[in-house]
Amino acid sequence: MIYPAVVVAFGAKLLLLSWLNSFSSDVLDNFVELSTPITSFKSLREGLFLLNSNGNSTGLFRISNDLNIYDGGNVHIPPILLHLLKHFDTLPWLNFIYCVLDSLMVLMFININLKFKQHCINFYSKIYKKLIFLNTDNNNIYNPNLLSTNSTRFNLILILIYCFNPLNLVSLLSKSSIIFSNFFLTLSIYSIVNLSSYESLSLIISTISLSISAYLSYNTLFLIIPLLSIFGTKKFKTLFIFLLSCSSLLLISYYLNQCNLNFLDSTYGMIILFKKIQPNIGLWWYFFIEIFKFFNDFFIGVFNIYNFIFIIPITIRFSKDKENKIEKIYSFILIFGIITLTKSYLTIIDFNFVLNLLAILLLNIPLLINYLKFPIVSILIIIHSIILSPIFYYLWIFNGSGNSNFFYAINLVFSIGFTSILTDLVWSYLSLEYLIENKLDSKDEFTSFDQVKYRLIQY
Amino acid sequence: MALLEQIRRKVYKLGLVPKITKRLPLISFLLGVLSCIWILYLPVDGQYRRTYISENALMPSQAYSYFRESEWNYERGYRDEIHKLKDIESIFERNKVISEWLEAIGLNTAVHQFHYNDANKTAGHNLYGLFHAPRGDGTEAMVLAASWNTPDGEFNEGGVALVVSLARYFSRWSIWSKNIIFVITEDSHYAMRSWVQAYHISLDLTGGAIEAAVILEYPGEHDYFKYVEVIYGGLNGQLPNLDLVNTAVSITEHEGVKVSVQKVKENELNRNDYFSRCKVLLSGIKELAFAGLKKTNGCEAFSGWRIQALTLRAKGYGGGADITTFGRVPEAMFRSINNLLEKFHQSFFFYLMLSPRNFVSIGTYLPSAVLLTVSFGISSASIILNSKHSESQILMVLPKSFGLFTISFFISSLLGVSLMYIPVSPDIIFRVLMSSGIILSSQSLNYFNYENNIQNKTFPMIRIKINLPLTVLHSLLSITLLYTSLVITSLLVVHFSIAFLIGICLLPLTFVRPLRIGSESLKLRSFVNFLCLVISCPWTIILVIGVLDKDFGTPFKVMEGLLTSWRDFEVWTWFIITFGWLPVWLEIFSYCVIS
Repeated sequence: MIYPAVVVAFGAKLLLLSWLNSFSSDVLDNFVELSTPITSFKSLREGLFLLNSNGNSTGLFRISNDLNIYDGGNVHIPPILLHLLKHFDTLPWLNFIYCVLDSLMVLMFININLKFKQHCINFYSKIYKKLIFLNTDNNNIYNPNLLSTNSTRFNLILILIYCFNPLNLVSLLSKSSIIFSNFFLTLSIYSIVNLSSYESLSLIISTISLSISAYLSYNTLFLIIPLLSIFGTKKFKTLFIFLLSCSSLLLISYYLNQCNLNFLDSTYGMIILFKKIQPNIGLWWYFFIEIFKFFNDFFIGVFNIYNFIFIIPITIRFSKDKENKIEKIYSFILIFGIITLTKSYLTIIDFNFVLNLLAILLLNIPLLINYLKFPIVSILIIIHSIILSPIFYYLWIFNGSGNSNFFYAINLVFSIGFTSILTDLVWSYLSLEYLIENKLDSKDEFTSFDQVKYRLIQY
Repeated sequence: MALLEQIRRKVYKLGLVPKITKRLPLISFLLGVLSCIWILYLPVDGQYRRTYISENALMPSQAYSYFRESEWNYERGYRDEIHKLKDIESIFERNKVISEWLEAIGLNTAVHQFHYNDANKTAGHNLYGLFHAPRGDGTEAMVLAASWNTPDGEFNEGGVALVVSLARYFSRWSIWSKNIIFVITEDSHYAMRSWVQAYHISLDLTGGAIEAAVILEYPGEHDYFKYVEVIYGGLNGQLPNLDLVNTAVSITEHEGVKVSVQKVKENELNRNDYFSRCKVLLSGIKELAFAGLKKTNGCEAFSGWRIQALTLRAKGYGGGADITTFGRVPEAMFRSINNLLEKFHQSFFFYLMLSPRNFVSIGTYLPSAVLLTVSFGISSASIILNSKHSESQILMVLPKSFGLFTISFFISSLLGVSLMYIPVSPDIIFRVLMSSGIILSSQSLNYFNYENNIQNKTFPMIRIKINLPLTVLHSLLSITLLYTSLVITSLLVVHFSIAFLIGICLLPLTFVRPLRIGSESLKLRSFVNFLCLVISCPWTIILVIGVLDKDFGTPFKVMEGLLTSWRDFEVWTWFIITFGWLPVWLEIFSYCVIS
């Protein structure tokens, strides 16, 4: 049932993409919430055009053979991706590729969900027999039995939610090139959760795909730290593979780019040094339009440090138990959330991808939901800020009656919502861990939490 | 954090959470009431501020105005000639004469031809002349406009004469650093709008980005007038920068003429007490909400291109001020605007006037609408929290209720959009909508069914046989109220007036409760539901507005305005109703009937 559903969704998306072509490129690609100079579809097309017109163009618009695609300053996509997509530089082909990647991601998400659930059931039922897991109340969606018996139906619902969630749909329609990086990150997580079956193979796959993901978008580079913690005993092997694959990717890029290293500057330099100051929903841009120029380097440094400073402490905290894979995967996803939050060119698409991953955590460790402190508040903040963000941008740019402060204020609110989701998840996991460690298993502790009204007073 | 923790423990000890949860509906209602009180409290001394010129470069009335005695003769001359044109029906012929004058003064002129959306009317013509700035680079412009006929249908003799004589007068100065465009349109409604639209799209003779526009209205042939009305509303909640309004007010008062905002009558001009301020405030909210739906005053036409525009209207006959005084106001305003090096940005774009010299800014009045959103948010939460359903049950039915919500959303948006394009007169559309609204609402009176399971024949019933569990209904209601809160939030800053009015109109819907079999007050309950539904129905509100507002006269005019304003003026009000209001009403109606 799953595969036909994914195929149908694939077809629907492909139709939608080709039908709404002009909508994607004219409307969505101009939304600062969806497209950045780095990831916009226009930039991708520009790169492909420049690459294809090298050599085989004739006549009036002849461009000389030795023209470098990064010289124009408009292309910020790594060379290998451009060279791979070179032969598919038509809209139908690109639409097809986007949809294929998206559908593969759906399949991987379903698999990740399934495997992660097994991990969770094994782990928690071992330690904690009396938990809600064994509760046979059929009205309780936290009951894993219910979920596993209806697992096809559940997966169908997942597919439906994934494919037609407005944020996901908009992410796909805007054709942001971040999807390539996200795809490889998903692949990496996919092989992490499938670890038990073919250990060395999954280690290699996950490390290499993480390195590809980092190669494509830079920020996921830092995920190597939680990955090292996941592969615990094989740290050095992992690190070696990672470095090897990263350097070979860069080497290939170097040769593809006419033995020129300028691609480094216009891809990673652009992201690290925040060279194109354009509003987005992230935290960076406002500082760089407001401050004096001589503070620039300082703030670049501060923001970049922020991007990875929390990774090591969180990784250490979440790797107490060597056997427990769940907490490591948990921290892996949380850290990805933090990296995304402090990214220089943040879009709703990145946020949405993090949400998809977080949903997997919440669906499979349903007890976590009980320990969230303010889920409703966070959700409301996020909904409101996502709705208000384009409105404030409109007031600023088109109406002229607002200004950049309006837009950045709503960005801050969005970031607060995002942060509160992440911190809430840390809190709830740690509370759960505390309860388990201290064997606080009185029945009402777990059952009465079901109702929202007691949430505020549970501790 | 320790303090927070202590508070939390205290709250837990006192058991406040369940107590508060039980009273959430009351809290929500109180917040709604508080929001009204907030608005009504703004005119109290100490809440509002006195206006001030924020942009230093404006310097209103700092230069001496020379549009005086000698110019009076030119003005009179032009006016006498224009008086003769009154009998010529064809605007085209009239424009020919004016165009000759403007050419003689030395302006480039052009005629903009446009077509009314009404098939019965012939093509219209707007005349405009461009005066190139002696000192500028020609990238910015100011507009001085007048229409042949005022919104009240009078012949705008003095206004057109002033535009021509000011054109002659301005063209002799060498101080201008912005181009000046003189526009004479057929009317200040669609004709003016189409000129502004064409200026930004298709006209050949243009003079750069328009910074500000002043529209003059001086109907009649008399020399003296009593006071000046400053009209500053824009479309879709936009207002001109407060600096422009302040400049106009301060210049007019500097000339010794009284100013009226929001059409305050002459005998109330000297009043500045709570009630007069309150009246101006409420009228400002109302006018902004209905802008574009009725006959516009001209300044609305410039909305949407970052143009600050206002209309100056001379009122009364035989007062102390003569027509050159009225001419000196745009003169001094243009000198002020001419000083600007940047666009208007210093002062407020969101404000409510209380009197010509008093205003409240967005930070002061916005909380009232925020309270409304919070009120809807709280009643949404209270539905879930007081429903005794477990969280998981609610989560299970969420897809179902989302589906129901989407259905009604699609129904109402389809209805709304199709109504704009079907060729039926707005009278009939309104009658059909109104009666269907009443019929649907009366469904909620159908309480006999619950008592005896007998179908009541007194009402034209449409039997609905849908059995939905209470969980679905509750989550549906909760989603709907949350949606309302989101609608108001999203309109808050863009269009405060509409957000506030819609919030107030929808507030009764939070009192709709399901009928419970065996409950004694079944009759009362169903009557309350009926009343709430009727009061919150958009058509009822349109009826009330149409009857009460003298500018409309009938509800059919309101309906016509709603249906045509998007086409003519790009006003969103109809879409806000069909996407924000109607789905909520339909949703709560179906909740009421099904339960």
